[in-house]
Amino acid sequence: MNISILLPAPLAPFFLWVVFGIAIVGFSSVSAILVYHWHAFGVNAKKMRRVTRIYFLVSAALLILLFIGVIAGSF
Amino acid sequence: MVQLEANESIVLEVRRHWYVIAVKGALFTLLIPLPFLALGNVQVFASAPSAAGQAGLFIFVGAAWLLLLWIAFFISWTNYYLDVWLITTKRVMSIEQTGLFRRTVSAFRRERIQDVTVSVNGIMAHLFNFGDVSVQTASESKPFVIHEAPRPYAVQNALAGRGEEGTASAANV
Repeated sequence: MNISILLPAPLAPFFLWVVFGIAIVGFSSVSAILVYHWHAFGVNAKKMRRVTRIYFLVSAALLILLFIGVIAGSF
Repeated sequence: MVQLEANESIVLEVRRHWYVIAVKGALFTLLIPLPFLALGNVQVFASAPSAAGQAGLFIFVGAAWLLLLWIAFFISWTNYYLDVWLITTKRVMSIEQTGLFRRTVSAFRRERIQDVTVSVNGIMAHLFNFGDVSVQTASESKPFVIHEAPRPYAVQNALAGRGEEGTASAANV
């Protein structure tokens, strides 16, 4: 089954940048809440630091990929 | 961080068995290919973009989906990890984290424990050795329950204060 959600071509880059912006804002808000919880309520500070590092490392890689997608998708 | 009284130390941390978060992780993993399967059948832009543009769109949707799953998994993990029982030398603290904005902390002194009940139900619970531990105290009508606790009989022994053996074996939970 083929589905069509048609956007005019000139809107494509704009659409991608808007979604990218929403993703950044959403990611920042949720991350702030998560980090607050880990540091305020976590029992083991060392483990919480390790979890924070893993979370942000993978997230940064995905955000870079997202940015590459916006740039490449704009052509 | 948890505030302890003077001369009080944490003997044991009990949270749900890792099986619980592993099942959730597996579900999130199963969701990974979803947009990649769907993307081939969805036309988004009225005029087809260039090959680079198409690849970019594919990367964009893939990365956005993975980021969404990654965040959702960590929300789930946070709820799992912060939902914990802390058995200290003096008290038992039951911290119930149900969602990011719902947290209940109860504490009762160990000498108030009247009865500790363990229930292990189901094949997986027997296979992975986890179960529900409920504690009835002298002051509360409702028992405190920790669900899917690993090595529940060791936890029961530690709570019932059956000497060094219970605490030592439960310390590895």
